[in-house]
Amino acid sequence: MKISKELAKGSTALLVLSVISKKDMYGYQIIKTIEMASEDVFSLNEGTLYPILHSLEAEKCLESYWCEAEGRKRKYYKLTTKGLKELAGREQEWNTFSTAVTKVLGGVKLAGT
Amino acid sequence: MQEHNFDEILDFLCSGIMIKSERQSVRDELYDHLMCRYETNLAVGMGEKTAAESAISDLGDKNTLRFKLSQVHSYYPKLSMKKAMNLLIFGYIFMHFHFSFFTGMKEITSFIGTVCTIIALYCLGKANKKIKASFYIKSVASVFSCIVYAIEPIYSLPFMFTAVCGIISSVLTLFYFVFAILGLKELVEPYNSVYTKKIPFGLSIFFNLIIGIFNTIILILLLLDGETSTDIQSTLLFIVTIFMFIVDLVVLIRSSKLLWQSDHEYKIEDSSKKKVVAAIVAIAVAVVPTVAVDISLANQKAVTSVYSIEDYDMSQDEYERICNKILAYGIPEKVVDSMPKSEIANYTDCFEITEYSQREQSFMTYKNYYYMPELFSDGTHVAYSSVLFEIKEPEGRSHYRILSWIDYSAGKRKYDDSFYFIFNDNAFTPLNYSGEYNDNFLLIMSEEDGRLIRNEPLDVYTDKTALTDNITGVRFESKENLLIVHAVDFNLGKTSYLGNDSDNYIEFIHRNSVVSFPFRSSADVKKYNINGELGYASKQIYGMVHVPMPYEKDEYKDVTILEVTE
Repeated sequence: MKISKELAKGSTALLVLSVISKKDMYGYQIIKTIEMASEDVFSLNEGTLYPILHSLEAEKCLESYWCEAEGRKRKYYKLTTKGLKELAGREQEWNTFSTAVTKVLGGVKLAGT
Repeated sequence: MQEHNFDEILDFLCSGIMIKSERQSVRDELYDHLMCRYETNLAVGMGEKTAAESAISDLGDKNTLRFKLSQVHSYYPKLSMKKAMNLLIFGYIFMHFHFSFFTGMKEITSFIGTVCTIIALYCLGKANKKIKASFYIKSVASVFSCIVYAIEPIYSLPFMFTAVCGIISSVLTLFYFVFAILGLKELVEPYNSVYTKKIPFGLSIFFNLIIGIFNTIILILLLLDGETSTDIQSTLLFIVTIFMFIVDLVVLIRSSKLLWQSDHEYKIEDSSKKKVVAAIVAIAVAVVPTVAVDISLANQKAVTSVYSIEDYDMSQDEYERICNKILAYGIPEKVVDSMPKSEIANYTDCFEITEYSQREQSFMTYKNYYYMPELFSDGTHVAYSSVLFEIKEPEGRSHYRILSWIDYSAGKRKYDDSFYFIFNDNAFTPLNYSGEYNDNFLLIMSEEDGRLIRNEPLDVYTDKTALTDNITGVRFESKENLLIVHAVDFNLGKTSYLGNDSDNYIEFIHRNSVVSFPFRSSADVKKYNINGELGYASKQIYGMVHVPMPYEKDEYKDVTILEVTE
């Protein structure tokens, strides 16, 4: 099942930071990792991924370095200390959000009853 | 490994990134990405062409990706509404307050204000078309202002060219703010009902139109003939400008608050970026070299030497006799003491003071004394004054010598700079109409370590015409205390001359700001405004030396020195 763009929009940076926190990765690898981990629910395209990567790098949440791979240059990203804090903050935010959404969807208590 | 050429798509995707190194970096990264896709596609059995096409199509919308990449790697201003409004207010204040208590900062604060305003208008222009128009107008107006304020004072462009640039700048400046106000009005209109305080948009537009039109009319009239303004007009203009400033600030601050409260935001679009950069670069190109030249000139030091007045063979008795006669007219002792004997000799036969009082009215009559606002100024201050006078030539008198002096001090908060000293030749061109000879004397004195020191001028400008060879400008190193003494000969024609179209003043230019001392004397010590605090001019006196034609320097027959008090 694919998730609508609107729903996925706010969580893309969280997903990217999360997968990079486990291992230094390059763009294509990030896309594939997220696809696999989400069992194809999240399918990032390049138009979304690279601007986010570059923005996070500009905000010093990520650092990059170049390596030679398969005869060409490849850019790897790694999480910085600031990126780690950013990830923690976003995770907390997401947990609060998803818990609240779950509660509302579960209809724990109707207002005024 | 099979390579594939993705140049076309990569060139397109990276074309919005302006910095070459970043463009190459993004290109390499995307190439690796496309190759990864391509190789994967080949591995699942696709043909080369299909594999490449699939890799490219997986990128998604190419225009969107190109736009996003150009945004991420953009160095153009991208401000929130709140920051843009703050910047607009900041820029407006900086453009109108010249912070004259920081000597020499006028141009810098004005420049900072202009740049801030342009950036703010650019950003706000994303939200409103009228503000966008305001941005374009302001950018163009700034380029013309640069010509008038930054380039002209150094490179002396033709008057007509500068005047037209000034008028264009004035007209555009009038429209830019009116457009900005109209745009802001549209922006805040949806939220106006929730805001209890009224925003005086109408009043602001009214004042701006009044000031703008008035300034423009004055400039056009000044272009046609130089006598259009009076004290009253200048004062009125100043008062209206203050009102306008207050109303404008109220509009900006209240609009800003409203937009914050309403959480209004605007989308950043990928448009007009090159134009805003071009505008800012144009201003920088105009101003940076000017400032650089200014600073390099300011750092020059005058050659000095210990000074002696003994340059002419004159007996002590004779020297004292002439000095006493000059001193009787109220010329300060230190001025007389500083004049070399060769100059003192020019006053050998000057009239006794009793003759002076009889001649004053018949010789020269002051008709009027008026102020003119600085040409192309924002209309808020008076930059120079001028005097209208009538000279009636007494019978048999045609040659005169003017002596003037100025006590000058650079003040404590001295900006390391030089000044221009200009004895405007306009006054003498008609007076020299029948002249054949013009002699100049210039002395720049300072007292250092208890000794009198003569400062050589850094530069001397002369006006060589068929009739004159006159010093028109002298650039010298500014110091805390200088005494500048200047004398010049001129000739009157045989008929009376009404000097009503002459600009008779001595003009100091400090960092491109004109400051003038009226061509008349004053017994009172006066502080003249040179960027707020720099200048002190105490007393100016001119002496008139008469010799019959044909003029020969050694044939002075009689001399008078006039002191005209206010």
